Amino acid sequence: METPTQSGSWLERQRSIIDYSLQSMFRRRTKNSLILVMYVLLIFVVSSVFFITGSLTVELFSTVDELPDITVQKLIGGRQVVIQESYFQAIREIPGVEAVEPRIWGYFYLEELQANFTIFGMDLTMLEEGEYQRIVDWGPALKKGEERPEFRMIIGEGVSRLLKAIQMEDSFLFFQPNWDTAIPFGIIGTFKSETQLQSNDLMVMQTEGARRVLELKEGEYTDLVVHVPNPEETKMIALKIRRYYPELRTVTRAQIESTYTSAFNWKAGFVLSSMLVVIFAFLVLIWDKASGLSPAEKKEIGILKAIGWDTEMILSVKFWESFIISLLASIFGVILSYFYIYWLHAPGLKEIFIGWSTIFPSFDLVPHIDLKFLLLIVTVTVIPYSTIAIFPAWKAAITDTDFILRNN
Amino acid sequence: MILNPWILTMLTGHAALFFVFSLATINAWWIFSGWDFTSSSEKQYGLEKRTYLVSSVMNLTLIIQMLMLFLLVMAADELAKILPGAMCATGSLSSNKYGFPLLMIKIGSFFIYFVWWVLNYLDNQLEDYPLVRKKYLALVCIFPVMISETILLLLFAVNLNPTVIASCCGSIYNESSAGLGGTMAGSSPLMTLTLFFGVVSIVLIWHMIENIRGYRPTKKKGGLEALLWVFLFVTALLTVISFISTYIYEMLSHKCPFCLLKAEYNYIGVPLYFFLFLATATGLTKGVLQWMGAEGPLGEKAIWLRRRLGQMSIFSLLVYIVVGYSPFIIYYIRTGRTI
Amino acid sequence: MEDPILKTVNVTKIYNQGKQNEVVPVRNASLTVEEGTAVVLQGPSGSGKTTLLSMIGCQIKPTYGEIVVKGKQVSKLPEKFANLHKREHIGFVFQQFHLISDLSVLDNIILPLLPSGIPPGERKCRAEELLEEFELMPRKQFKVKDLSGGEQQRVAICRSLINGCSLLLADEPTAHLDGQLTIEFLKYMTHLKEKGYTILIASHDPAVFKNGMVDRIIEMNSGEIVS
Ligand SMILES: Nc1ncnc2c1ncn2[C@@H]1O[C@H](COP(=O)(O)OP(=O)(O)OP(=O)(O)O)[C@@H](O)[C@H]1O
Ligand SMILES: [Mg+2]
Repeated sequence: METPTQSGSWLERQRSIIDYSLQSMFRRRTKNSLILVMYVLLIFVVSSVFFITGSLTVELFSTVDELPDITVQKLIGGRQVVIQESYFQAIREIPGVEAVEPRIWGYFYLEELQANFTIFGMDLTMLEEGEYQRIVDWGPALKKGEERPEFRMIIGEGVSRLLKAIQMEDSFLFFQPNWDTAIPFGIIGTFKSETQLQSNDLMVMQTEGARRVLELKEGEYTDLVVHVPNPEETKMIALKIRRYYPELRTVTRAQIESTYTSAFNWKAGFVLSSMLVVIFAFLVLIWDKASGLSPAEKKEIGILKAIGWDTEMILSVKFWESFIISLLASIFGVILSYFYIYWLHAPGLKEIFIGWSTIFPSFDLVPHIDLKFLLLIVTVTVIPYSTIAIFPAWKAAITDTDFILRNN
Repeated sequence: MILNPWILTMLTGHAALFFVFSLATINAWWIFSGWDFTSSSEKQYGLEKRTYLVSSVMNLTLIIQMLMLFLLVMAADELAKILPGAMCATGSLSSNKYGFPLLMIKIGSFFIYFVWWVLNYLDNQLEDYPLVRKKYLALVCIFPVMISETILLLLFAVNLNPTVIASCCGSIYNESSAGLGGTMAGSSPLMTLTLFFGVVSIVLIWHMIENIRGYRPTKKKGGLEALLWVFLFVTALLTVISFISTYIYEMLSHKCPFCLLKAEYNYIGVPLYFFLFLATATGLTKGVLQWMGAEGPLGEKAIWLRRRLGQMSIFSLLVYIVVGYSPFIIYYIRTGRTI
Repeated sequence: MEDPILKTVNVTKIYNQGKQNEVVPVRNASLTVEEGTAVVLQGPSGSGKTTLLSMIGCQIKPTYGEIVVKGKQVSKLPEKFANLHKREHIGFVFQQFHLISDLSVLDNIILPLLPSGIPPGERKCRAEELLEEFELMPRKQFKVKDLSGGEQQRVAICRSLINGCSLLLADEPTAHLDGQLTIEFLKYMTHLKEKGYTILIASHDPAVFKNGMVDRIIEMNSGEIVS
C-alpha cells in the first residue's frame, strides 16, 4: 500500500519541488541576490575567524611540542632570580632524568623603537655547524677588526626588519643604563620564517655576550631545562625537584601548553563573542529581507494553493529555497575566506590575534582545513538561519486561498 | 568556562534549537487543549495551521540534533587540545561530571525525537488524524528532556576548566581502570562480539519470522522488540570500544569510541555511527509502533510503516556491520592474524 | 441510478461568525449534479455563487453542511486531504484566471502536477496534448503576461484539466471576454462536455446560460438556491 498523498515517487516529488524553487528564486533574483550577498558575508566573517583560530592553534601546537619537558626556576620572595650551577648536578641525579640544560635568556627593551626583544644565550657554534644550519639565513661573516666572537648573534626576522629601519642591520649597539660604553654585537644571520610565532622577536647570542647583556655572572643561569624521556614521569620528577629544593619552581610542558592555549583562547574568545554579535546582526538583516512577503509572492502562493498544492508543499519549497541559498552562501563564503586568509594573509584580522607588540610575526598561515570546520561553520550560521526562517516560511505557507477567489 | 569557537558554536546551535523547540511545545499545548475535529470554527482552522508549524520544527529539530550530536563529539575532541591531559573527546567529556550525561541525553533525545517524528508522519497519513491529541501531549512531555539537555550543556560548558588535569582515553578505556569505561574496554572482545552477534541473529530471525504468514504481532512483542534494539545499540557500542576500534587504530591499547571520527582515520566513524543510529532509531520505532497496538485504518498504516522501518533497520544494520568489520577483515587478510 | 458526481446538502457558509460583521453568503444550499452534464449557477452579483463554487472546489470549507464530490465527503477533510482530492478530481477556472504571469505557458500548465511527483517527461507530454487541443501550441514558450485575454483563459483551462479531473468548475468565465471570445469559450466547453466532463459554471451572462449545451440552470439569490 502506497501513501495516498503521492502518485509519483518521493524523489520525483522533491525533484520537481527543487526545480520549482530554483525557478522561483531566479525569478526574484534581486531580492535573493541581496540575501545571498549578506549571507555570504556572514559566512565569510565566521569562517575567517574559525580558519585563523584553527591555523593558529596548529601553529601553536607545533611550537609547543618543542617546549622542554620541565623548566626549573628559582624563586626568592616570589620573584624569579638567577639559578646557580650547583642545582644542575643534583637534578641530573634524579632517576628518570635524561639531561639537564642550563639556559640564559631574558628581555631587552629598546626605547627608541618601543620594542621588546627576547634574548637567548647559547653556544652558537651549535647552529653554525651541524643539522640546524639550515634554519638560519647566514649573513656576511664578521668584519675584520670587529672580530669579537663572544659578541655575535642571530636574530629573528621581525627584529631584522626593525633594525633595518634604524640602519643597524649588520651590527647592533647594546647599552644598559649602568654601563660606561655601548657594546656592538655583530649580526651573523637571520632565522628563516618557518616557525615565526616563536622566533620573530628573538636575538640568539653567544653565551658570554648574553651574560653581559643580561648581567649574569659566571655560573649563574636564568633557568634550567630538564629532559625526561618518559612523559608519564614528568609530573613525578617535577614534584621531586620541588620537594628536594623548595626554593625551586617547576613548570611542565603541559602547564605551559595550557597557559598558552588559554591566553590564545581568550583572544579568540573575545573575537568570537564580537562575532556572535555580528552573526546576530546579520541574521536579523537577512531575516528581515527573507521574511517580507511581497504581494506578488503572496498571490503566487495563493494561486498554488488554489490549484491543489498543500501547505506541506509550500513548506518544502521554502525549505529548499533556504537550503539552496545556505548551500550557495556556505560555498562562496568559505572559498572567499580561504582566499582572504591564505592568499591575502588576513589583513585586518591577523593583527588582532598576533597582538599588540610592535613586532608581530608576519607568519604565513598554514592552510588547515578539517571537515569539522565545515560542520562548525554550518552550525553557527545555517542552523540559526534555518530556525528563524521557519516562521516566515510557515506564515507564507498557510496563506489562505480566499483572496484569490474574489477580485484582485 | 572557556571561550572557544566550539563551545560558542554549540551554545549558539543549541540556543536556536531550544528556541524553536519551545515554540513548538507551546503550539503543541495549544493544539492539544483546543483541538476539536468536528468544529469548523476559525479557531480550529488556526490550530490546523499550527500543526504544520510543529511538524516543520520537528523536522528541523531532528536534523539539527543529529548535527549537534556529531558536533558535541568533535567539539570535545577539539577541547582536548586546551584541556591538559585530555587527548581526545573522551578526556574532555570526562573532565567534568556533566560531559557523559550530556552525551547520553543527547543520544536518548535523538531517539525520542525520531520516534515522535515517525508517529507524526504516520498520523498525518490519515484523514482524521487519530493520534493528534496524544502526539501533541507527548511532545509537551518531551520538553523536560530538552530542558535537562540544555541545563547539562550549560553545566558542562561552564565547568570546563583548563587548569584541572583531565584523563585521556588511554586511561579511561583501559582494562585496568575502574569505572564504566574500564569495564567496557575490559570486557573481552570475544564476549562482546558474542553478545552483539547474538542480538543481531535474534533481530534477523525475528525479522524473518515476522514475514511468515500467520505471525501475530502483539503489544508485548513490540515492546520486547524495542528493548532488543536498545540492547543491540549498547552492545554495538561495546564492540566498537573493545574490538572494532583496535583494528581501526591498529593498536591494541588504543580503545576509544570517538577517535575514529577524526580525519586521521578517514572519518570512518561518521558512516559507522550514522548507520548504527539509523538502524537503532528505525528498529526501535518499529517496536514502539507495535507496542502502541493501533487498530483500524491506523493499524493498517502502521503495518505498512513497520514494514518500511523494518527494511530500513536491517539494511542499516548490515551496512554498519560491513563498515565496522571491514578494517578487521582487511587487517586479517593482510597479515593473516588478529591483533 | 448512478451516484451523482457532486452533491451538496444544506451547505452554509458564515464569515465572521458571532461577530458584528457576520455575513452568510451561502445558506442551506443543496444541489446535485449528474455526471456528464453542464450546469450553470446563475444569480445576481453578491448572491454567493463564487462562495458556493469555492466550497465545492475545496478552496474553502463550509461552516455547516456536507459536500460530496466523486463519492467522497470533502467538507470535513483536513486541508491536506481535501487538496489531494481536489488535485485528482476537480478543475477550477478562476474569474481572474490567476496564472503566474512571469512563467511560461508550459510552466503554468504543469504546476498542478508538481505535488504529485510526476516525472518531467510525462508532465510535458500531458501538457502538450492539452496545448494542441486548445490551439496554444505556438504560444508554448511565451510568458503568460504576453498573451491576450482569450489565450490566458485557455491556458487557465488547460491548467485546470491537466490533472485528469472529471469535474470542471468555472467562475464567471466570460466576464472578461467580448462576444466573439465568449462564443469561442462556449465552443470549447461544448467540446469538453462531449468528451464526458461534468461542467459547473457560475455566471450571470445570458450568452452562457442561454447556450444550447447547458442542461440545467440553478438560480441563486442572496445566498439561497431558488430553483
Ligand atoms: N471572506 C469574506 N469575508 C466576508 N464576507 C465575504 C467574504 N467572502 C465573500 N463575502 C461576502 O459574501 C457575499 C457573496 O459573495 P460572492 O463572491 O460569493 O458573490 P457572487 O455571487 O460570486 O458575486 P459576483 O457575481 O459579483 O461575483 C458578498 O456579499 C461578499 O461580500
Ligand atoms: Mg463571483
